[in-house]
Amino acid sequence: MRRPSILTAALLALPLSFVGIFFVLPLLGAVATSFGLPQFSIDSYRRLVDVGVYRSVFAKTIRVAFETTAISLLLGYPTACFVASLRPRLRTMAVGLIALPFMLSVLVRNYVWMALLQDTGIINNWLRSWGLADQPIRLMYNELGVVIAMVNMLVPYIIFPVLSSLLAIPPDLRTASASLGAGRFETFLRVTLPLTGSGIAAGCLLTFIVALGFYITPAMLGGSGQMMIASLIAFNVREVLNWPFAFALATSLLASTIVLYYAYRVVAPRGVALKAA
Amino acid sequence: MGTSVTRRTMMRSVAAAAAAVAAPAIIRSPARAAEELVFVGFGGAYQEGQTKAFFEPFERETGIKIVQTTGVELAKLRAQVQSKNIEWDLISLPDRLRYTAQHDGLLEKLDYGRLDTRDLLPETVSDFCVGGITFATQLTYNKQALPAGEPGTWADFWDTAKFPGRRGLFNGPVNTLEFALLADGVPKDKLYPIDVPRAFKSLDKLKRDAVWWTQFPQAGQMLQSKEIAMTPWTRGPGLILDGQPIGVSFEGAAISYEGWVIPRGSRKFDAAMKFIAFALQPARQAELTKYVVFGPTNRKAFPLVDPKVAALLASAPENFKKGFLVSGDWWGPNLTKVTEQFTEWRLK
Repeated sequence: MRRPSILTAALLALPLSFVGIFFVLPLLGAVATSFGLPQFSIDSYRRLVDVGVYRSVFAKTIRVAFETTAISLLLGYPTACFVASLRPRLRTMAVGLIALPFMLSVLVRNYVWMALLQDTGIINNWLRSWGLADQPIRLMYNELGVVIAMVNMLVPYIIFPVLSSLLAIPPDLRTASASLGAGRFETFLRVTLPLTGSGIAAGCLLTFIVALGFYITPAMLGGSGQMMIASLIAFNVREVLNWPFAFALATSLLASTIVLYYAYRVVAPRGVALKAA
Repeated sequence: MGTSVTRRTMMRSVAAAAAAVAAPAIIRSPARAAEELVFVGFGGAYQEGQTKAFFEPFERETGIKIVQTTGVELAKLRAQVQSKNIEWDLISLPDRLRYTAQHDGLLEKLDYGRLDTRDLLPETVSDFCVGGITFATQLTYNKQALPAGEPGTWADFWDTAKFPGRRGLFNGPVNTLEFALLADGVPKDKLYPIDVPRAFKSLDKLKRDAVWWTQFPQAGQMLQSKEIAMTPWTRGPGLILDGQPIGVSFEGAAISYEGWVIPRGSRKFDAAMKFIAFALQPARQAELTKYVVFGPTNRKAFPLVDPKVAALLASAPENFKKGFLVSGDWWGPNLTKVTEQFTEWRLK
């Protein structure tokens, strides 16, 4: 088995050095800048802890990301089950439809949600013309609007990993389960669900991490209380050029994501832990 | 950060040495290098206007070609200056960014021996930057959303009983706090230094009716769909000239400017200075108003502007009197702190 391992190393060298040069090195540079190198200082981190507003924005960011992930899972899992049950040709079409929104720019999709959700928007106009509401219902400028749009953008991140783990389950297992006397619900609970655990975990992790970085959507569809950490990072990078502080915010966000991930691995039942991290 | 001459000259020679070995200099032949200036702008109709009013005639007159790119970002400018690989030679920089760029040593000092500043708005002339256009963030409203009458002042903007309807506000403290103080009765000439607690107290009264926007087109979309009745905005005059039912007031408008700057270490300093002198001429500035509704900084440009457009320009004398000039020098050092307070206030 020596030759393949040399071959593997050679094949891996290019992508690994790409990731090393264009991702790991700059990331280390950002972490170093956050500590004020070449002079070592933790001023940026101290400010982050001392000024209360950064803590509350951190908490808000994690909360919105968590809500988005939970709702995406609730909507995405059944969707994946449905798509998995389709015949191959229909399934390809369904996958294409789910991926279609990725072709649109995030900004355009935010404007679409604004046109739908605002007080003078399409949904409120329908509700009024059907007599279901006298006053417009507040669907945006609050957390609801932000979560609706974020779920719309992130639900494919749940659907695709879950779908691939569903398709990997041999159909025989379900037949076996049925022959042992389990009903459809019990089969789902004891066979399908555990076997899609890694898909769920991968999907949730992806959704959560991508959600942490959102800021245009909360800024456009949120109200005065919706503020995400990414907008503070952008402000410090682009407007006031305080890069040590911006990178301290970014490093903290990365660190808390890693902590959350390991906490999740400890708490999660064995089968549900992410296998291919 | 200091801006000593010795350090700058040193930086320039270092940059020149670096440029001699850097790849971009090899790709661009030295003979052509002297005949090109790289301009970075904000794109869109504005940059098309700049092309017609400045770049094309400058090229015809001097033979110096203006290579255009878009995406003005201080972060990119800083990266270029730090790595001594200067890609941009000319920027038209908003005053608010000008302060930070100057403070962080990202700009060259201009050579005023080569510029005629006699007729320029004196407030827009400083060591590192010379004003090229003015614009106003002004009370802008949808006439159709306000059947009871048209607002004229920031006190009217704050008066939701007399003028019902949601208020759009820019999601940031710059200008927002000034408007809050004007609404609360602070005179225009007493705005700076800003009384931040008083401004937030005034904003408290509007919090329930406020809709925060971050993107300039977003405010226009909300105004036109009557989602908001009024907002401070910069692009009202353009819509009025298009015949839209939009109204603007210059009373208490926040007037600011964009100025020509040269990145520190630019190898084309001389050509860039030549361009700036060219672009400050009255005829050039007046020409720009045919494409975008931004005011000239040169007093002598006004007689050359279409009167219909001139009435909507921030630097037209009768409008300029009604507004106030935003102090980039106050905001520069205070922006971080006040933005923290603004975020805190928003989350409350």
